[in-house]
Amino acid sequence: MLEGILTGFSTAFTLTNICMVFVGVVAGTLIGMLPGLGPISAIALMIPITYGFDSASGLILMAGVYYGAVFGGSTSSILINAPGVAGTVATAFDGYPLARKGQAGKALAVAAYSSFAGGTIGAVFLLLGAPVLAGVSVSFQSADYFSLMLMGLVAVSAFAPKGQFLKAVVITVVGLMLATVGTDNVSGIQRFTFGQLNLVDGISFLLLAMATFALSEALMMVLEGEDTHLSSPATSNLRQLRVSKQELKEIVPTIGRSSVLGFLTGILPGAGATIASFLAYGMEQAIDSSKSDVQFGEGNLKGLAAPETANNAASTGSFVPLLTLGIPGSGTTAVVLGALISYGVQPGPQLYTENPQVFWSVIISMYLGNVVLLILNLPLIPYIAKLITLPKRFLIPFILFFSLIGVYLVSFNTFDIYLMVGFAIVAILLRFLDFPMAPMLLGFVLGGLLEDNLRRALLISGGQLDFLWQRPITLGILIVTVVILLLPLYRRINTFPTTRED
Amino acid sequence: MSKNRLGASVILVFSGVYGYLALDLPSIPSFEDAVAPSSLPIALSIVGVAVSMLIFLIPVESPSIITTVFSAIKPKNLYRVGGLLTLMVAYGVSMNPLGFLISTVLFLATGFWIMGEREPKTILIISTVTTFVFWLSLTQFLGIYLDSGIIGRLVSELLN
Repeated sequence: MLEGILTGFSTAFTLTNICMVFVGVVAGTLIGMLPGLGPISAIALMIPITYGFDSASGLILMAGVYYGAVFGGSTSSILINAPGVAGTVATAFDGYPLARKGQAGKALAVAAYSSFAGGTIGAVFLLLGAPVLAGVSVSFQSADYFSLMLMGLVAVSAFAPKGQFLKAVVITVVGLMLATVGTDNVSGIQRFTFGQLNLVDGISFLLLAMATFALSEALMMVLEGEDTHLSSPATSNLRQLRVSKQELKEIVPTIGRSSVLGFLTGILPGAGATIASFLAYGMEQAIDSSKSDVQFGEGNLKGLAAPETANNAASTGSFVPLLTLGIPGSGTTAVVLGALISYGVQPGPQLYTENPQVFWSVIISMYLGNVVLLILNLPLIPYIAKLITLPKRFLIPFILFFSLIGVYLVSFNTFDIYLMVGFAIVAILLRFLDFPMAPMLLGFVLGGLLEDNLRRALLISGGQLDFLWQRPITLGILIVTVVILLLPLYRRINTFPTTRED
Repeated sequence: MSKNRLGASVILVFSGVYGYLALDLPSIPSFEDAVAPSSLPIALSIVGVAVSMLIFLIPVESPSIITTVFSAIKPKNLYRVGGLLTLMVAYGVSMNPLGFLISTVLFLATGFWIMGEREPKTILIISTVTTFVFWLSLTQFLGIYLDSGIIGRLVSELLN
């Protein structure tokens, strides 16, 4: 393991890769700060830029963008009460009241310290836990992978906001259906191509991610016309970033508890940063119970530190199943998986053994990303916050341009632009009907892998379905899948926090 | 009609058409395969139809599409989105004949105009400068070839 860590350090600490972290963190913060654009859009927008890079540099850049986008989301939550990212909705509960009280600088500083602590503690857990899980998963077979992917898909639906379980299931199925478009890998037969040469290679993942997130989110901003609250950010005392010793002492235990909770929640497929932040907020509220002078929801520092720590720890935690099993647990890590596959890197236990420099450099870059986030963003916040006041009449055409050109520069095929417009229209319609979009991306990216593993498992078992219960691991995962599937029934009895996709 | 039911109907139709098309795919596995090319698509379409029917039939409190969606959208914003969607298609159409530079300047300028900017000087400066900087960084620094279009090629031929 020590050798791996050293490999990671030597890869991550090259001038190019340190630049990647800087660029990623800044770009992620800028994009994440824009209300409506989350980490999925931020990462998708960066993918075309990373095509020329080696896989380690590309992944390091994307990890930086992910952190940056989550932190940028916190900034807009605190300053304008409009979370750019679902994972920072809970941040606004106490962050915005603090900013309204003229303590915007302090609120941002607490958010930055908490994010740093959460991300760093999460990275230590990742460093210790990922190799163990990767070691175990080497013995996994096609049947186990098939059941794991099934579990991942089911979990995303089970953790969907209250009342959206069936919608998430059906949207996941739509994602799986879209993944079957193109030439069938095994038989070589074209499926659902309608004789179109443009569809022979299937639908590009980047195209689908850009159309259903970046494009549709930008167009939704226009439709909803959210101009009113964008014009008055609570930016008073933005430069006063000092946090007193007493206040630090108050939030340290909260940060410790929320890191552990956040990381563990992040590992769970489908849970992610949003649920982690709500759980941490709820936990602190329950523990605190009127001990503080300031009530939760009125600018309590613990109420700000808890979700901020948890969402960053969960962002790190969500890399565990991606790096060790090759199975993304959220929409964001699904985009990262799509990008990795396009580099020719298949995450999973093989990544740990065959590409250790990628595996370890990503983990090491997580530390680096957190340090950069703290030392770079905090002093720059007063300037970065100006972006929030950028008029939408300029911002929207730029977002549309970068989304379209990002996909066009990969294929140089204008058909992709038309296809994007079509998908964006459907995505806007489904968003208005309250159908979540992230499960579709997850279904799409896992569709091909799911079918390949199912075919392999069936081939080994001679076409019999008994592969589902022959191995204890497969059976165990399938039992957990059924339990997760029944979770929504349990939730009907016990109220869970209402969250959005992250 | 409620939001849930409208969404379910859209996906029901999509799943039905997808399943119908899947029936045309070979239903016998090839020699080295255990699953036919049509097997998974047919299974997915069955699940899609079943779940969307469940959403349609299960009585859940879901707001009406007319009261929540149509009354929330201002016609001005709807026209803007329509304009931007048309503009994106036009951008795709113009890319080959006009080339990257001209079509991008036109795309950005029209986009700013659709979004409400009415100052010609601002529109022209921002769209031209950003397009040129982007083009320069792509072609000169990243070494990516960008087509100058039929018109661009004609102009360069005339100049030579």
